[in-house]
Amino acid sequence: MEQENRNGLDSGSDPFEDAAKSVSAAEKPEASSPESGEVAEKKFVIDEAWAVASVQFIFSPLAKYSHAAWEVTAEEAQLVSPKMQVFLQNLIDRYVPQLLSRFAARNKELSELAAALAMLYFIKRNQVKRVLKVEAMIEKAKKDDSPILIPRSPKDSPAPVDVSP
Amino acid sequence: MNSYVELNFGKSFTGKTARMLHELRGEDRVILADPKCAQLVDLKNWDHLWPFFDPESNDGDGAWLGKDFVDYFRKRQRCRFRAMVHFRSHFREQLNLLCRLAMGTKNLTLAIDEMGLFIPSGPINSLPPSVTASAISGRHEFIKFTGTAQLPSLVHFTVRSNAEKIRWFRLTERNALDAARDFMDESFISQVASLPNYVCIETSDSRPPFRDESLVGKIKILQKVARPDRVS
Repeated sequence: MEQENRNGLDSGSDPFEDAAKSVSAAEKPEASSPESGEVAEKKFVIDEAWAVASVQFIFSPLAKYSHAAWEVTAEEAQLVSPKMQVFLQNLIDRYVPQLLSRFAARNKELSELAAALAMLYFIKRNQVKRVLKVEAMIEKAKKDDSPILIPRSPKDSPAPVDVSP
Repeated sequence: MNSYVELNFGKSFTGKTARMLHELRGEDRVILADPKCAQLVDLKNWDHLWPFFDPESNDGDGAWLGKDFVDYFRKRQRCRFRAMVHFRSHFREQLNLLCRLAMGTKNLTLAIDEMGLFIPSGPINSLPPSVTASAISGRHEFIKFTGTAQLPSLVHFTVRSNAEKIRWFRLTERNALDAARDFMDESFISQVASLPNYVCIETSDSRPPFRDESLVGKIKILQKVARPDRVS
């Protein structure tokens, strides 16, 4: 037994890493994306176009309020965009998560309320989208003088319902 | 700090937290657990950390989400640091994790403000295992342990009985004075109930108890924060 313990010590296992492993857990994937962590990381990669657009955006107030000559072309923006791309990637990877986690820890009630409101917003947005779609179909059917077919959600019967008088 | 376990007991605003911070000034590697997230949030020269605790992780044992918090200590395994860790909930569980991390980090001082919130009194098995380990055998890993509480009875007796040094600030509650009787004679007990702020009776294993007034007016820490309350 003692020999086994000694072997454990000699094998190079790091007590800190053992402790760190047992006290921390990865961010829950569903918190950021319903898919795996790898996909979530890919989703937030800043590409060249974002960097160019950011550089152009910085000069846009000058172009609007001072002179149109301030407008930065894509070629000009590409002179700066590599550095902008690195900065934005760092911002997304490090500073924003740190700020959000600090804010969430300090203002637990507010962050929970914001999450709940965001959830309600997405639910309502889906409902409104569906209502608008149906209204558009009714308007179109009235114009064409054809029967009104209201689509149902996939959970219900797949057959459309005829509600025309 | 020259003891491995030091405790500070006293009523609110008697200067025990300020004294603990004063004693920590000479320590190279310090973790301070703050459960109140009030006056210590703006303390300068400290790295303020806000770990995000998920009680459901690790099969219900709880864990801190993300790598930022653990990475802070990973990068400072061989250098000085002063980390103020602010907790808002699950104090007992989070202190257990913090002690486990401290045992892995080694060679540091673990300070706990308001220990009653983290390790309240209870049966012997109510103290989380890593807290027990760091309190009773932390010195093997060169971990010093210090903390404050408003009453001795608020702190688990395993930690209390292992203290090498206790500073008694003003206490008026009868049970608290009874607890103090185990450490000092009646002449000091009569003083404990009427001690001015920042004055304490210090008891330790190595020397007889004495009244410590040496730091009155000298501890500047937290004074700026405390000023509005004094005015009111």
